[in-house]
Amino acid sequence: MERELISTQYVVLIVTAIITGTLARALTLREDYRQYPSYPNGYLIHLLTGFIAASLGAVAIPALMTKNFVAVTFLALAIQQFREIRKMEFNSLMHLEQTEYTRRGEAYIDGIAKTFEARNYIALTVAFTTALTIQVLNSQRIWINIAGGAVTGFAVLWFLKKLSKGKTVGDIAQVKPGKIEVKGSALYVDGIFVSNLLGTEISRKLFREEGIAVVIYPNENHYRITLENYGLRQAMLFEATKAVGLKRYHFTRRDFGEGRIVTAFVPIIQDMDRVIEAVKNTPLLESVKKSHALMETR
Amino acid sequence: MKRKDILAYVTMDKNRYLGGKPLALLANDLEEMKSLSEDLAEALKADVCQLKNGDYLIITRG
Repeated sequence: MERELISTQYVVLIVTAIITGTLARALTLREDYRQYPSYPNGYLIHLLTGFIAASLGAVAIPALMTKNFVAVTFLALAIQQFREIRKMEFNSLMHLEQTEYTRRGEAYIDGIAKTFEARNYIALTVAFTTALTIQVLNSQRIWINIAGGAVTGFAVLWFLKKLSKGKTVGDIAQVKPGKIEVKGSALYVDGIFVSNLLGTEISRKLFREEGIAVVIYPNENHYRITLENYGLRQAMLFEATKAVGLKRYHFTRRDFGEGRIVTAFVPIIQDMDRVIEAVKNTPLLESVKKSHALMETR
Repeated sequence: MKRKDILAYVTMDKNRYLGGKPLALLANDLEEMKSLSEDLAEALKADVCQLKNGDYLIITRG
């Protein structure tokens, strides 16, 4: 019976690695709040999947040390599981599309799903490096092993968080309030034609009195390629309407002449600052982002 | 992007009042044209576009 039990050294290694890995997932989960509704069940699901990811990373080193090389192949299972998480997030958000004020759009959903997958890899990597450090240190004093492993784990977490941190619209553009004008059935914002769907008197009155519009000015001309992407415009509109609600009508329009982008809608709560902040905080989607340096021709 | 469809065409001009799909409605005066458009848009949860010639188009909401 005694032989079948793992040694205290490995128990400390596995438990420390699992805790740091799960903590890594918990710390990265907090950042998801803006991207995702804060329902408690979603939080629980991701904490538990993070725990499993951390467990897989934690037991890899003991498996190797006991010459159980085949067991390491379960890391392939981990990748499969993370892909499932990505799929689950994608499907779940796609099903919610019809219930939101405006659509998130496939590009935004793809970005969110990818982030969830990536954060499980972070949990696994943090747990793995923690376990590796403890194994390398292999000190007789347990607390040295724990402290060394935890420090390395959190250093790796800090590095990976920095590496995977994306930019937001506010980093590449200015967001300013736009002046709404209704001429006949046409809606103009800062002189830019937006839509001619204001055919009824009620809609014109509603937009004149309660409409809200922001104009996005790219900081550099080449940022237009990113900002004018339909997926990103949809994401900006989604974040704006999510921040202040939507009564009726939502439009987004490009101005080809000066590269401005207009987002206009009738909100439930009149709060321009919140709308500007929401648009500024919209993440630049991975599928949309272009590196200007890489695109330069020789 | 969601495809837009014309659900109805409301006019006062007999020359533009053509049958078939979409539904075409002939109004007697401007007030009737306006109220027809608003009622239809409300019932169908659709958008209304007024053309430069004054006619109304009822379009699916995007």
